[in-house]
Amino acid sequence: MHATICDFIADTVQNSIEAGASRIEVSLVEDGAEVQVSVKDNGKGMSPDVLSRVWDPFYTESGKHSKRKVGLGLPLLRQTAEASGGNVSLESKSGSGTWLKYSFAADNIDTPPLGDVAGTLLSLMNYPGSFELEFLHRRMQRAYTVSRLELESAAGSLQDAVGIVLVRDYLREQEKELENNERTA
Amino acid sequence: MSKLTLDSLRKLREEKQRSLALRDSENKDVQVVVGMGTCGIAAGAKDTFGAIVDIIAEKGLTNVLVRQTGCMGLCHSEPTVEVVVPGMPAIIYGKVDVDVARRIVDEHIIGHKLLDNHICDRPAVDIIH
Repeated sequence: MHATICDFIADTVQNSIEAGASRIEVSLVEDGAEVQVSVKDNGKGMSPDVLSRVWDPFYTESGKHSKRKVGLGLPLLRQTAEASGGNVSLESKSGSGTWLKYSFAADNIDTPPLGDVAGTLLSLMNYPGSFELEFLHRRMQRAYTVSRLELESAAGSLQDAVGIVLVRDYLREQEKELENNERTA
Repeated sequence: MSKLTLDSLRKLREEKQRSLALRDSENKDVQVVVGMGTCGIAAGAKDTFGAIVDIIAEKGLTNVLVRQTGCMGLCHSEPTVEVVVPGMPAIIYGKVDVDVARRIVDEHIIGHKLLDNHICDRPAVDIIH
């Protein structure tokens, strides 16, 4: 199911939104040696008891799907990161929020491909609810940042087809710039 | 082509608003909800979402809200799309590729007719709760 690094990002940010976060900061850094992802939110956070069990694939919080018996997101992420020479760290405090960081070695054959960054970001920006999502993508020396509030202010509602098309073009343009800079560097 | 900036994005939006006389989202009475859980994305929901947005923009439909949701409990029929049109039952369509997305816009949203062969039963309440 999680074929690319962007799939992991989408999954973790969706969890932040579902945890009631009003602010989510995401960074994706490619420094040549590693691909590093950080997702920090101010959502409901986890109690020490939940935190000690999140790596167990047979544990899940029953809030969303009451009959579900497994919670595979974080265990699958850890397995994939560790298999590709990276690692995962998780800090969380009930009532304060969660900070998840994970990385993959850039040159490891088991590292998933990056995936569609612009498309993933667009779908996260379009997610319903009132929250700020700040995203940074750095590749070597070049970087761009986008903010959901800023995009909404410039392009209008992110649930309107015209607004979505404009934001999609904008995000693709930012990604293209990173690629062009990489080629000319 | 020069780089698209937030300012140019703002100008493009103003141009589009003028040409389409866009109304606020409160006036939108049709909703299209695309299932974008992991199962949906694995089955191509991002392409479906992109196609729906493109077709709605291309046809200049200003009364449609395009939203997304997580898994609707119909993983076997992903990508799934729920369409809510006033005066019609809310319908969940399954296996919505780009062609089906176009038919949904043309036949359901504009023509007010349901599409055969793609309508899914709504999942049990305990799943979608």
